[in-house]
Amino acid sequence: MPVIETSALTKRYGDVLAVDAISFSVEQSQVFGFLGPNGSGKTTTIGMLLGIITPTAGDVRLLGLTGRIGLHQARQRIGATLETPNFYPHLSGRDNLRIVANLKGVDRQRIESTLDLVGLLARGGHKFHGYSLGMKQRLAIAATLLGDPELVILDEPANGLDPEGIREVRDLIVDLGARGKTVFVSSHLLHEVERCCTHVAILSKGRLVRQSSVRDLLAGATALEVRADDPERLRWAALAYPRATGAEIDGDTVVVRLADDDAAAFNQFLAGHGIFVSRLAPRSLSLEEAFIGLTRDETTNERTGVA
Amino acid sequence: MRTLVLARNEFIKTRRRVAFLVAFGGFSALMAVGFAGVRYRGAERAGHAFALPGAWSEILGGPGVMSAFFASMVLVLLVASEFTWRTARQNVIDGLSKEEFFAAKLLLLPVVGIVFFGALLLVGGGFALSATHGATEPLVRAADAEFMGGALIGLLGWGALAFLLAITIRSSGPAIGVFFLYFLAEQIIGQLIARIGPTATTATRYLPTAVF
Repeated sequence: MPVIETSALTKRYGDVLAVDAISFSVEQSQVFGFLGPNGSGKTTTIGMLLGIITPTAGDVRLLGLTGRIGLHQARQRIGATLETPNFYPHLSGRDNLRIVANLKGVDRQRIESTLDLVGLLARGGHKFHGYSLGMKQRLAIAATLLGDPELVILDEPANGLDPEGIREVRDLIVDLGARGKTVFVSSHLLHEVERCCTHVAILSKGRLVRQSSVRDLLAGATALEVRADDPERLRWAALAYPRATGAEIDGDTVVVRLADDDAAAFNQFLAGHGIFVSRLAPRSLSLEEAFIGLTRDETTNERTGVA
Repeated sequence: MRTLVLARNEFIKTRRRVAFLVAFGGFSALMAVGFAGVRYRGAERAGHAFALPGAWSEILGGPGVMSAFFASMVLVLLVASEFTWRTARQNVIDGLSKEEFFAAKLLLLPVVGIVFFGALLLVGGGFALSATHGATEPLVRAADAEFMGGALIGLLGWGALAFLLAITIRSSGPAIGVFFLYFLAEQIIGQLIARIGPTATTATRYLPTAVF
């Protein structure tokens, strides 16, 4: 049974279609990255998963439960943050966790061990409004972990963290995954997602453009490194190729992303345009490059009317 | 409904809230200074002793309205800030049902009311008791108890209006502003109704704050 399952989930605010009939599922023990540019509908989707935002249409199942009462029951078994860490500014980190612990019926001993886990034990008695953004993020993560949840949902957990903090959050997510927890994390730090997530879903303009394992996504996402005398002319020719989804100059090389892997046909197309390449080699894309390619495809399809 | 959990969490939040502590301290100090003045000035004037049980009407009159006003302001500050800080939403994510969230806030209404009303009775009653010598009647007569009950219900009525504004407007500044405007508007409406004639004047007795 999937831990999270959505079916044609839609949210409309007046004329604005924030989330457009997205369907995806997250299985147990997956570390699932939820990616998308700003304004793509990630937080709205998470809000609907948590039952905080009412969908215009579609269905959400969280831990197999659905409906208002079902999602309320599911929330008691998960740990989640939405957008910025929201705590009582006049209370200490420890008192804030005490409130969450009371709600989740968690023993007070667990507060200390969780503060220790996120590196806030020494500052647990300090007021929340005096915390740095990084400390606030850590406290938010501590709050999600308090009840030993079956599912952890983190919305941009690395926001405002320094490189050391980002590394710590990444290690924490990897550790949760290793312990068999299901983690659902939205982020725009793609190289971090690539390093800690097993699966991803990519959202663009409210639409789900891809869901797969990170391995499959990267295996299918290839590009060609092409060299010719005039890189600029080569780039323009590549962009004119019907199956090209993008082309960028990288030094004396042009990196061309294709919708298929038919390098021979592409080479023939270039020759037909009087461009003779001196090098043509496949190149594995990073998650970031794959992400840019997929979200750009979506924009291009929208412009050209391709479904 | 996990009433004990809700009460425990509201206690953790409220006991550290500067707005609550300052308002409660300020109200208590104001009452102490006011009642001390009445008590010692009264002692100097013949025929007017600020003593129990006769002093209850003075304690519950003007100062009673003041306690309702302070309690209402504190309620707005405690309730509306939950929406500003988005802790209301986070509480629901953390497992509180929406009904429980509102029930937790509603718990504050009688608690804050009783705290302020209790302070009024303790401070006012304390000063009056210190000036009471050889009373022939009980310190709290049946009529005084009735008056106290009425004043407490009045306070809770004001508090309920403040609570309603706080959860509707969800921002403490505008909610307090609307609270004051409401009283002003009701006064104006009352006067306009009174101009219609003596029969219509009777209706002004049933306007919300007049009832409270």
